[in-house]
Amino acid sequence: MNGESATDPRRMEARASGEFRALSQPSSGYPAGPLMQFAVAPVRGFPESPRVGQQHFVYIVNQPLVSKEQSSLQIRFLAEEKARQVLALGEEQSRLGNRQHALELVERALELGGSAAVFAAAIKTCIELDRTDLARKWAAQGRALYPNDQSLTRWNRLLTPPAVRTVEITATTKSEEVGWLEANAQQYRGNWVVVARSELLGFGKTLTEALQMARSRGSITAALIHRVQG
Amino acid sequence: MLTKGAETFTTSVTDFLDHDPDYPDREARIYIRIKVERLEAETYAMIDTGAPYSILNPELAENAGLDFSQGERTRLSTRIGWVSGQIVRGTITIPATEGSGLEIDATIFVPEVSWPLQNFIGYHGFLEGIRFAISPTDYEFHFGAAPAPRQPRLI
Repeated sequence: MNGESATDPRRMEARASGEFRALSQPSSGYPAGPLMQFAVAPVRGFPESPRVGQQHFVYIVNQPLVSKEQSSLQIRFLAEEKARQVLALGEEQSRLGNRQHALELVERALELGGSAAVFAAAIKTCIELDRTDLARKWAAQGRALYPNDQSLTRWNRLLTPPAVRTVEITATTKSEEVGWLEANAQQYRGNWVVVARSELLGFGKTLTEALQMARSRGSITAALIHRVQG
Repeated sequence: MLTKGAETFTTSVTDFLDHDPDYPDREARIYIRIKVERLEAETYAMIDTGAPYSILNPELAENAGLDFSQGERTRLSTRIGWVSGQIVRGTITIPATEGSGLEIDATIFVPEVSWPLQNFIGYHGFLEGIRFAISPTDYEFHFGAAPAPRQPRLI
């Protein structure tokens, strides 16, 4: 295999443990360059993972590196691939309800290879786990590292604590509208209704229909919109 | 208007419902009226301090003109299970019957699929930015802008 030594000590070790398989082609997305060959073995350290045997560390068996820049690219690629694998484990653990373990895996993934995509995926996992504090932390760190990444810029904006300002918008109580709903909603199950005082201005299976009907009768500024549950 | 010592605590009042208006027999919850982005009319939303984010009905969000181009897809665990949707940013206003209304630049989750439940006002991106108190005997919801946190919050 392209000059690979059959007696490469790492390969021999992997073979001896029965955890070896070789890839003849690099993974897609791998930086262009001379053909590399890998031996892969299961991830260690996650014995409780339901995917043990599918996740792999990647070892370079022979490495005809041509330049320092390409070497850096390759190392970054390998680190990100590993980070994605660990993050995938974290997402699985999140779905299984193992919150603490999922969070540990997210942190581990970011330590392994914090590309912009890995940061964005970690933010999503933290949101799924109701950990907005961590999602905000990773969004801020990711944005600082990758200021031109659109997804991280959006996450930063989306997760910013709310801005609040006072406005001169007053309202009257809606006791007449609520009275109308309590008396008549039964007839409009599954519909949207637009009610002002004790008058039905519009209704429809979709809100768009209900609003069109109501607006055709005048302003709806003082009206109440409600979706009557089916 | 409520005070805390010499400090103003809340600045405004609105009324609230303690039940869903079209299911009066259902369990008690606190519903306040809100306006969403550009939609002129008001609608009810349930205050849910246990919900991480506010959730709006997708039809309501669309008709209100929320900007989905700046949103991000994710999924949330809800009362009806895991729901996919978009996290977006938008303006939700609480009109006041006394005092001034509050306009909140809020983080909002909009489900991708039909949403059979009410609108929810959740903690992150909304309630964390306001002070509120209720007076159950007269159905008053007191509210005002929260001051900036004095120290990092432990959540």
